Amino acid sequence: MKVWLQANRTIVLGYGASLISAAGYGTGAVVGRKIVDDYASPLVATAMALVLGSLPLLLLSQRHIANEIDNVPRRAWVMMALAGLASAWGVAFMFLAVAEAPVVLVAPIGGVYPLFVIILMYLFLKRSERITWQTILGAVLVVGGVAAITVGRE
Amino acid sequence: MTGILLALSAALGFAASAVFARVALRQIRVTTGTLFSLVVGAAVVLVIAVALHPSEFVQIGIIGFLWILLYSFLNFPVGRLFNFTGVQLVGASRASTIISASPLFTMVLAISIGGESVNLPIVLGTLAVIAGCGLIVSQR
Repeated sequence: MKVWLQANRTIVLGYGASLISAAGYGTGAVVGRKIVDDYASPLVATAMALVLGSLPLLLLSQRHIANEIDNVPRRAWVMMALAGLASAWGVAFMFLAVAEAPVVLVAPIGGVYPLFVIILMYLFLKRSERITWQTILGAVLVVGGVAAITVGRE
Repeated sequence: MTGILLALSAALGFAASAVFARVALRQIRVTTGTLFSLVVGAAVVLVIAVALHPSEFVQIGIIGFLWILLYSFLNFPVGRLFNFTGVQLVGASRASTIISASPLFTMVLAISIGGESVNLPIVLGTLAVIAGCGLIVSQR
């Protein structure tokens, strides 16, 4: 077991990080619902959360920022800025969608994004990641499962 | 129909974010990259929020602020930092699929704390999510 863990350290850490992220987003959704019901509009809550969420990351990355500003190519910064903008786009359009249609319809459709990731990776970054049938079938099962859970909760 | 198109646009935004992050994280540390993506996102969302709801920021109160603080911690230092760490280590397609299972955690909380009941679609959905994640994790 120990040998296997050492040999697959990157993969174990990567999947572990993804699961922690899912737990964070999943728990955050419960807290977000409470905020939107009782305290603030989604847009104001998201804006404040983005600012507040930046502060711990500023502490975590402060030792490396100056060095990275000097050494990281501009293209990487542009790509990361686009990642931030695309994510903000996603959040904004999700709020707009919820305003237009029931959550039971919007949430499963918004949840198909892993399938879009697979399509985009295949179209633009084929050489970076191997897309296997297990990846595609796994994504279809998760997207379908999340849709069923959403329908079951409504 | 408008709601469906807007939800698809949202999904495309989330997907594009993972793909752009995948490219950028080859050259930027994950903490710095996450911070930079948050600052860019915050700048855009803050401008829109201030323009549309200027008075709301001062009306939230201490308790509301504390809830938003908790929300920000769960979504960004936890959610997005580990999201980008996963994207960097196992790739965008696999990490995004695992991360998209987050409603499973919401459901567990809703059942254990909120007292929601379990029904057939929830059981089948949970099994499908576990099977899908298992299939992805079991790849060599």
